[in-house]
Amino acid sequence: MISGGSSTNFWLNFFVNNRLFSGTVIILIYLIVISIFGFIIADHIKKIYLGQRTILTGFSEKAIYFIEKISGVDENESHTFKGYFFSLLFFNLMAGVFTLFFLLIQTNYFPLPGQRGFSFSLAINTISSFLTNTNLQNYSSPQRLSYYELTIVIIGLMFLSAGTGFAASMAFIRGIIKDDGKLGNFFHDFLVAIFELILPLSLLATVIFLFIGIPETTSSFLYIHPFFSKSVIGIPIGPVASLEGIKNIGTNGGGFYGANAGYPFENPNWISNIVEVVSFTIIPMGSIFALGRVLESRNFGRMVFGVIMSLFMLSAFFTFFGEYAGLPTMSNLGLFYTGNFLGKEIALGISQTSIFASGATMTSTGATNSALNAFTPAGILGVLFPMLLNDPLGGVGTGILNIFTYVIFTIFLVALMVGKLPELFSLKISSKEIKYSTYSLITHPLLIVVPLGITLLIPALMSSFVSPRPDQITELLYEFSSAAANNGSAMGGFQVNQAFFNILEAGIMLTGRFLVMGFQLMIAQSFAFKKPKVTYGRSVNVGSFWFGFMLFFTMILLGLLSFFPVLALGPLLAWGKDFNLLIGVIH
Amino acid sequence: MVKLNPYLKIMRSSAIMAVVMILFLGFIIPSITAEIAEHIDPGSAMGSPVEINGKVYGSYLLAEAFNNSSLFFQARPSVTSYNLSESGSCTGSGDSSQSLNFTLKALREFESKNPGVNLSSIPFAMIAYSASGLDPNIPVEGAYIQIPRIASNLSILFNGSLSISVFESDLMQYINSSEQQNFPIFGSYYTNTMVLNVDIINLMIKNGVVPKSLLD
Repeated sequence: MISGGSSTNFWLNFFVNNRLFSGTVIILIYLIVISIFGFIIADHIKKIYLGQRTILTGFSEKAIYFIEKISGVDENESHTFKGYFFSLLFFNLMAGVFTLFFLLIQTNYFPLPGQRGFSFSLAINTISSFLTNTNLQNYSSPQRLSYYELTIVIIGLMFLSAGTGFAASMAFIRGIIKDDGKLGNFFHDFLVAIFELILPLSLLATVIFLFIGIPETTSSFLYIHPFFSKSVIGIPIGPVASLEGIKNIGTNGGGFYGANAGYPFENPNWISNIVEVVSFTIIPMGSIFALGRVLESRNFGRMVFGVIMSLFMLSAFFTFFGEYAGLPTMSNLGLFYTGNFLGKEIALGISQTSIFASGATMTSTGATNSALNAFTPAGILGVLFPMLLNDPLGGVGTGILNIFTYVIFTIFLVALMVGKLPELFSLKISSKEIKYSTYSLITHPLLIVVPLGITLLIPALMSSFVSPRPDQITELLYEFSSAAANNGSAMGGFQVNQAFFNILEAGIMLTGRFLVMGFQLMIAQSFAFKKPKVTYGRSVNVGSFWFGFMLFFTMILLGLLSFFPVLALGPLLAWGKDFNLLIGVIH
Repeated sequence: MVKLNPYLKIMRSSAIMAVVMILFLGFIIPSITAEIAEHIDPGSAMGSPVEINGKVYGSYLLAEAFNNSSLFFQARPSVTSYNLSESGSCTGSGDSSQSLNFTLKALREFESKNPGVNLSSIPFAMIAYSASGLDPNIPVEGAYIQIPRIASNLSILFNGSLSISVFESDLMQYINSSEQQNFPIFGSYYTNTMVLNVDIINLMIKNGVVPKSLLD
């Protein structure tokens, strides 16, 4: 179909016109680029985990010293689980209360012209959402936020939640490699995470976004006189590049505009798209590579990377093939059909939309460069399933915590099956670790399925849906799994800004973040008292291929056991209906 | 100094550090970055504005409602009717009747505006709503099929002083100079309707035939 200026030769036909082939190649290139950047940053992350000096220490230790001094923190004071988790919770509580009051007072007492106030439930939802690294946005950004709210509330909390997550993972690693029973000092860990990792990377990302042409200004509107119109329109504008930087680096995902990275100002072309995908995967991916180096078991790092990459590829290609096949109602119109372009941007195309969507749910980013509710049922299944597994690649820091709960659970299963000793890095796994990893694994599905069931029973809520029945279940399942996994990706499709959803989701997000993190830090505390023992090869080899194989299928199996019924009623049913696979069974 | 209970000490440190860090990371850093960015590159920092004779008519990154005029390239359909202060897409799912009706309506409009275009040569993306509702880009195939309509209408606007084929080759040249791939080597080709339409407007200004109300 390419004609005109571009020369039509064999290679052009081969590379460009065969969209299935070229899309597959584009996705593979993205995955390779992501892995390379993760590999590059891994050494830096390893040094942070081990408390060694990095290239940034010279600068950062001054800033850390200054802030510790004004807030009265003694960095040498090391806490056990109790003190560490209390610091983490209270610090987040203070940040939440401060921003909540700021948001409520500004919008309700000093509103901008034309700005609608935040109801109490919406404010609670918004603050919980940004505090827990979720970034579900039940308000419609940016018309409802002033410059001060966007910067102080949104950007401030984005940094804070990412720093908190990384600090938790630093404590977890310390619990494994040390045996003095202490997890460290939360405040010091937080500041190190911010000044040595998150702030430098997000500034770097912001500078790259500026060069790409993403707006960054202190004014709130770009006033224009559209063609064929006498009126003047203000396009909302602001510190978009800054917000994009921390949104992606901190795996937050809440966009400046309602359409998120689908809005051309946030993501104008493929360069910004690949930079965004790299920047939201760089810390989670780097942490996984760093894991192998920190624990001095490269095989273990390789095994975890292999498992996560398999899940990533499964998700990305499932989404891509689903979207490429498209919807029969549309592909039968007789047009030149190259896949489901509904709700997607031309400058990004189907393959780059798919890898972005699946990367955003593999990590806890939840940004989107497309309208997810216009995805095909098969496509949405590929985007949804990583969230059902609680974001395998995870957010900043939390990825490591999540994968460890799965690893411990799998060691337990494997040890039972083949009769080996349940040990992880020569540390005996006792009933306490099993108990807490099971708690954290069961909390996640409960937080999704129970609210889903309750919502389906309330007819008044279900009347706000616009889509047919199986889609309603998919949309609700997506919404609650996004909240529980602290992802923040949203399908929409119904009126989310209702007191019921606002409060329910806030509860899910806070529980999904802090309760699960508490369970995971309990595991670290339990490890922190244990001294490594000589193993004599009687324990499970966690670095082997077969352990990775078991880990992969344990994750899939747990997901299926928890969610198969609701998946069957939602996306699977819609998929079957689209392609007439259910003739005579369901009308 | 009075020795505090360890938990009270944590609470005090939390409160101070939370406020200090939120103000520093959230407010001071983005504001400094924004100030610097505005001084270094005012154009892109302000969202790539379209300026003609010192007046800002839009942004090269956002589509505008050129659909009512037959003299310009048409962007993809917008659920928010190209309202630049909003963004968004269809609230129904892809296979809902709402979405199907919107797409069919867009198809009928496209066909009636561009008569004589073969159905199988219309890319589906041309009638599919975008994620933002403001996607200025269209596949090059979608631009080629609009050339005959625009060329003949431009010829009428210019009172037949230039033949249709001259406009056709002009438009072709605009498309060729603005087309780009959405990924190196493997990406599909697309073009930006705002860039094309500004090229057309510049052509009109050069020849002194600007339609009424266009540049008001």
